[in-house]
Amino acid sequence: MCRLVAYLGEQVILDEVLFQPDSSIVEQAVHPQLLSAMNLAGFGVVAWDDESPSADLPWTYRTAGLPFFDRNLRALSRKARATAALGHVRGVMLSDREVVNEQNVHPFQYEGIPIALAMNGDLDRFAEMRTDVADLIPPELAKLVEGTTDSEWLYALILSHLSDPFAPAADPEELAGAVEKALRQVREVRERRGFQRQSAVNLVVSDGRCLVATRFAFDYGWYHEGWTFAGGERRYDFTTLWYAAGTGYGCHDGEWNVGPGSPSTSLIVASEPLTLDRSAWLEVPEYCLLVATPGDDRLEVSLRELDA
Amino acid sequence: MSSMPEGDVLAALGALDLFEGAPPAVLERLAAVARPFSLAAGEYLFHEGDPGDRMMLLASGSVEGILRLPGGRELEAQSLGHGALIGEMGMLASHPRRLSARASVATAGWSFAAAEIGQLGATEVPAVMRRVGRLALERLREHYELLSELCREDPRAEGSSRSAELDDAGPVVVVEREPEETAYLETVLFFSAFSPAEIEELFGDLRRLEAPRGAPVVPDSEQGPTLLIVLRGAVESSIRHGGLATRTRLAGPGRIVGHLNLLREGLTPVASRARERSILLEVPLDRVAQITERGDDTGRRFGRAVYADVVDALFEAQRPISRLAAAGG
Repeated sequence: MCRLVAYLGEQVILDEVLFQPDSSIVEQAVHPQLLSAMNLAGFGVVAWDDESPSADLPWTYRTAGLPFFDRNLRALSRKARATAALGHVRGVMLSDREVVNEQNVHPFQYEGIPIALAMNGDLDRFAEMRTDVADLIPPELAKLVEGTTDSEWLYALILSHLSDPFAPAADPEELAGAVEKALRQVREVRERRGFQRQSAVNLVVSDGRCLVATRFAFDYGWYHEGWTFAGGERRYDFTTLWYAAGTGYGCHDGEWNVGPGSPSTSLIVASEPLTLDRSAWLEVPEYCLLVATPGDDRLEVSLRELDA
Repeated sequence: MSSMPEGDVLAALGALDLFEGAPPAVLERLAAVARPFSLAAGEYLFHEGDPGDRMMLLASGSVEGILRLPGGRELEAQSLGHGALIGEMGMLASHPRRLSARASVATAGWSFAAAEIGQLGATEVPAVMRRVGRLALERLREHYELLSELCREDPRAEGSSRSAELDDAGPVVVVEREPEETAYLETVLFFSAFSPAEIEELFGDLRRLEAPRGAPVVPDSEQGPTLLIVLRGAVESSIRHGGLATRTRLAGPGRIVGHLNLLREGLTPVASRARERSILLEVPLDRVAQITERGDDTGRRFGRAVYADVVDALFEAQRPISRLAAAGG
């Protein structure tokens, strides 16, 4: 399983989101609180900055290496400013069938497309579904797929539901609708194939202005053979997702987080809270879609049932 | 700092309804391990998220239970005074603290390590366990009532609200036990407390139900005569308000649906439906009583497993409370 973080709001130095929090994404790569173990397979970040050239398009940094040994990443993140970012630590099964390379590192973001996606989850038996999913995607998008992950194919499938994936700034509702449609199609494929093992699909999708996140699973409670949840980990058998919304990201009471004010101007979404004090965080409910829409001077954050 | 608690800890323990009927030797052993504490007004007894490994008995003063909300706000959930117990749910299941507890005036009392309460035999007294279990159930009902109220106050009820309309799902049907069911159950919470022979003895002859995705499994406002334990899939319980529903719990494998039926009185404000296609074990309340009252180790483990799940449901019900209270401010 992977770990992800997404930020949207007032401009920050990337280091303040990726490295500074007590339980930052980089720290979670080594010491996740809500997960028993992780086999690390790469790190990636996509970031947008309103003040950068071609501000609609993000820059990306993806490596099959590990973030805590990455001096280049650390040096870069201390200088780079961002008004939106997605960060992702890839975790894989301990199996020689996993493909660990740069092409499979999240977030996914194709050349010229302002939308990026990162996923914390795993579609069971995806290799057997890949051709079904590919058939649902127009050739001009399908040809862009470089890697072998379920996540990248989901990214292409979601893009295929947008009227113009190359256009800057998607409408948040259009993006949310595209995610819902893609998940419904995946459910149909799974039903047709008779696949019914639990498959988590926690997604964060953003174009740098709005953000859509899911806490979702197909067939929750239909465990894989050999999974045991008799121990403490059982509390987290539905892959976790948390968020904190507030005013002014910064160091508040010794912890890096959004500030306590309202209306909200900044949002963080993460696999687990980034701060040890969890009172500023809320859990995204299971089977829910979170939508963050920028207003004049605020971010509207709403949650709704995702009935895919 | 205020002074140490005055009075006799043994007398204070003996005055608790919870320990009525407990052998004097058990209370004496408990009194011997009691640790006195005192707090000035405004001092914290513990914070939300701290390990729930101690039970506290208040001798004087008063303590308020506080839920901290995003934005630095607080929701005062309860206020307790002289003779009150705090953290007794730790006797049923070890969970981090759900609330922070702060002294509103100078307060004193005694604290007991949950592990010691067990070792000293207090949790072996069936009457004590029954009472603390009942207390957990009553708290669960209070949580659901509070949620109901919060939902009414805020009809927008931001959070996990969804349309209350249930899909037109197929009927719930009785199914055969799946092959190798016992081997599977041994790996699942709740059932992992029992040996394969015990699983067979306690649950072997009971009915397995299959509920299609979306099917209602516990009707509204009706006390069913059973508990349902999820074997596969998931059942969600919700409180309805207007045209919306707010989820109070998502019960995956090894989780119980219909706890409040154990109170055998009053109406339950929650309705449940299969969120995924589910296989459920139907445990008649008579069977629950029969197992818990047999007085052996198996019966005690069964009781503890049921009550531990009630405590878990309490935690889950707090999530929408935080969300609704945060949105309502």
